[in-house]
Amino acid sequence: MTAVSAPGTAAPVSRRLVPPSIRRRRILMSVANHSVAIALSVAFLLPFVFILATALMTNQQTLSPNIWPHPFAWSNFKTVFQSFPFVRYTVNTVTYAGLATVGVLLSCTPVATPCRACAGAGGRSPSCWCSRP
Amino acid sequence: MATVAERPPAAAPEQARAAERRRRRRRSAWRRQWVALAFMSPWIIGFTAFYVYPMASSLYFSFTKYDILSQPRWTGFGNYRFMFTSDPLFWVSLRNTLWIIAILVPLQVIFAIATASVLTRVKRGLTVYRTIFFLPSMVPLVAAALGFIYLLNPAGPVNRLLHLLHLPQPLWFIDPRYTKPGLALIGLWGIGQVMIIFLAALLDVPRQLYEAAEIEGANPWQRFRHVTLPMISPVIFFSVIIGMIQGFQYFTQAYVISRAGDQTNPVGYPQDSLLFYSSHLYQQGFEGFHMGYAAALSWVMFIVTMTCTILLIRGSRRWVHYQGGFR
Amino acid sequence: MRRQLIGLVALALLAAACTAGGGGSEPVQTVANTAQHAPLTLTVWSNFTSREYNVTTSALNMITKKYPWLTVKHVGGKEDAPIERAISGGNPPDVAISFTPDNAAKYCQTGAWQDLNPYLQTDKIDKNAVWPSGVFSYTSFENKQCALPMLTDAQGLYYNVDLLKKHGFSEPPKTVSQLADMAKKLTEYNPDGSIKVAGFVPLFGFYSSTTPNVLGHAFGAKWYDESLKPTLASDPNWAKMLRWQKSLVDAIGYDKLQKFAASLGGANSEFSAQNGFETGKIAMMVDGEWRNAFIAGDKSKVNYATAPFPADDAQADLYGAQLIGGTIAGIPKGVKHPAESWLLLKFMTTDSNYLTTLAHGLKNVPSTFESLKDPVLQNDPHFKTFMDVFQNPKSTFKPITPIGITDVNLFLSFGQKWQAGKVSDLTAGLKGLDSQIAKQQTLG
Repeated sequence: MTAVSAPGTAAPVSRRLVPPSIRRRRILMSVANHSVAIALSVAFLLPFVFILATALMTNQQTLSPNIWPHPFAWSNFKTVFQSFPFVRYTVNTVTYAGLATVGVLLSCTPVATPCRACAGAGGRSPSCWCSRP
Repeated sequence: MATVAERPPAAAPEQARAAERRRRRRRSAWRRQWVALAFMSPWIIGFTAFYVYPMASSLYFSFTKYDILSQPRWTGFGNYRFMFTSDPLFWVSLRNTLWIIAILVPLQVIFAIATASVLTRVKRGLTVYRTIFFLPSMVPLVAAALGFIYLLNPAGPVNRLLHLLHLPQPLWFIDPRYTKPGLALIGLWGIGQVMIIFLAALLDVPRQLYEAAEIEGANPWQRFRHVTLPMISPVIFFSVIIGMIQGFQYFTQAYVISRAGDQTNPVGYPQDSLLFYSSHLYQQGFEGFHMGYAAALSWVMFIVTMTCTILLIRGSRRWVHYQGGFR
Repeated sequence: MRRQLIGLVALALLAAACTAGGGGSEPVQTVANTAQHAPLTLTVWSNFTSREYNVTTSALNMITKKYPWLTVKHVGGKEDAPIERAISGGNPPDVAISFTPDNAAKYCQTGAWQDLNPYLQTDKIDKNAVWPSGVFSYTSFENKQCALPMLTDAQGLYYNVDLLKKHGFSEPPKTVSQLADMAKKLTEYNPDGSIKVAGFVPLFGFYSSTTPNVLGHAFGAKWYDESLKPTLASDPNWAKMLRWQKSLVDAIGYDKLQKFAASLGGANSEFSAQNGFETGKIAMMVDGEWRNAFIAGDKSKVNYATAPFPADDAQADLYGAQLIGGTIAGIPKGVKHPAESWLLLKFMTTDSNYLTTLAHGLKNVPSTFESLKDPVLQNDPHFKTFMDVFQNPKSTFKPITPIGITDVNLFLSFGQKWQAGKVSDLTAGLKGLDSQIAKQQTLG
């Protein structure tokens, strides 16, 4: 509401009164911004929702007019793991991602070390190949 | 070791000592050079084995007829001549790829800036919105393509929504006129990573500039055009270059979608509307046994990409403003 | 001294005979004694997955009962590309299985899959007595027999007996004009004009069997002449088939058909329970023999029957023949035990016990005359149609060429443009297609 002086300060702090018209405008702007943000969020999340709903549908129902799963086929998730070696594939992916990250770190970090030496030598050492401005 | 020696009076033993000191400095300089090389060696070895060697081989194969199963046969510029004179699908794929670069990349940049600006305005729930906007870009490309095949199924949820809104319901990935707009939807859905970069850039624009412009009487559009855009132009430049390079190599979504149902459809199904440069390359190389021709196609793509990138960088001097005045 | 010389010469000859690779007219080694042998494991690569993989593996293990020293390791999920890479990398599987017979021409030409004629001759197998003549159209190229069929497919007509009866038809169509006529009469419309039940969907690209290739076979159209020059423009049957197809599409309505096809669910729905024929939304459909298995597996209630696909009115002798062709198997170049690989391949392609077991499991057509006599399959009227189509001497695959499936893809794209009305001059279009295919062949 009105300005409140902060406890303990000597000089009174006076905040400008916000006229109601400006406050209304600010609220309207905020509402507008939030509605746009919410609309975008819905658009971004809808595919996830639909795919999740389909994941819980039986095969007969997947392309039919009903969007709500009826019944909920939780067994689909179990079937995935039985249909093909899903765990094996996941292990493969994790192995690849992990090794690739480690490999990048191992091969690129040593390259940076001479660059430090370059900085130390004042720019006249051969280690300065790596960092040319 | 490298102590600066003052010039002693010209006496023979002094000269010898100076020469000795010079030799030692040279040797230590050499040793430093070898140490530097040793540190870089893992990367150099990897680069040579997995980058330079395959590129050189690919260049060699582009001048041969090679079907993987027998030895390559030299054919000179035959593959390149074929590309420009006897392959109508080459031009089709080039046109489709240019569509991605000329239409999808700008759309993605504009949409990323727009969503980032929305994020700069909301104060409460910023992290929630940001996470939601960023989430789709974490979905693997193949999964996203398969998901959208289902979503944009002519009998699927999106068309049902359009039906409710009394809008026309296109056949999406079955109608050649709507396959690329369908790809555009997937592309726009996944701009999260670019958006985060733009968000950082937008938040980096100094407030004084906005206030100064406001004082001068600029309306929001003028503020955007004359303050925001120049200040984020380096990020726009970066996104456009990366988008363009990725656009030239656009493959995964188009391949997954045109091969969706059964494997008997050609890679550009329907009616070559999804035949992009990489898809054409893939089909020629791996299904048609024309590996040499595929190598030639890939080198032409490399040269075109390099040329476009260089042109873009040269042209950027005119419209990209770096804050530090660095050109 | 002379005896030693003769002995040395004999040894040298023997060594030369033993070290000569399987090529040309040199005799090949086969397993001398199948009863006694060092234990051996051979690898077989195929593109089977999940249920089909299990069926095939258990069938392959039957060979261990026949030859106890031989075990088979079956690796699934391997398409043609990984197999080609393994061959060129020098580490091939002992037997390779492929689902794409179009690639066999390249394999024969480059020797990537070994020529099996010497093996067949050494084992005194008369090819024409074992296999119907159609199989050689997709397993041999330039007189090299580099593959043999392991079960096969055949195309035929599926029709909904109830829907036909409802509109007064008791017999399936036998000619293409009957097919067109019945298709138009069997199509039912919604009040808003869209198609509710389709008599026949003639769109190229709708489901995997409606291709220019299959329809072209009904008109006896030839892809290539003897010198492998494309004859799409010079053979008038292609134009005849395309005009027939387009007139049917236009009579029902291109947009209506596309919308109807899309309403069935797009690309993924062909092998789902939403398949148009299985849900009674399509009265007649051309498909392979595998559809029987899917109808049973999806528990569809459609009251259906099968018949040969109709043929051109002017070529009635073509009735009963259609496109055939399917899984092929061969011995890659550079295998470590060619004689044993041949033993396994012979089992996989000629042993009736194995083939009928596999046919029951995979629901494909058995590929040898002997296995076709299987009573269980013969007594299934739905399946018998396809077995008869396969044995018809006029049934072939399309001629295979070293460019693999490129020609089929090009024609399919052209066909889709044609049915959409984007090709104004058919003759010029076909000539262009011919020259495109011919140019692709030169790219070799």
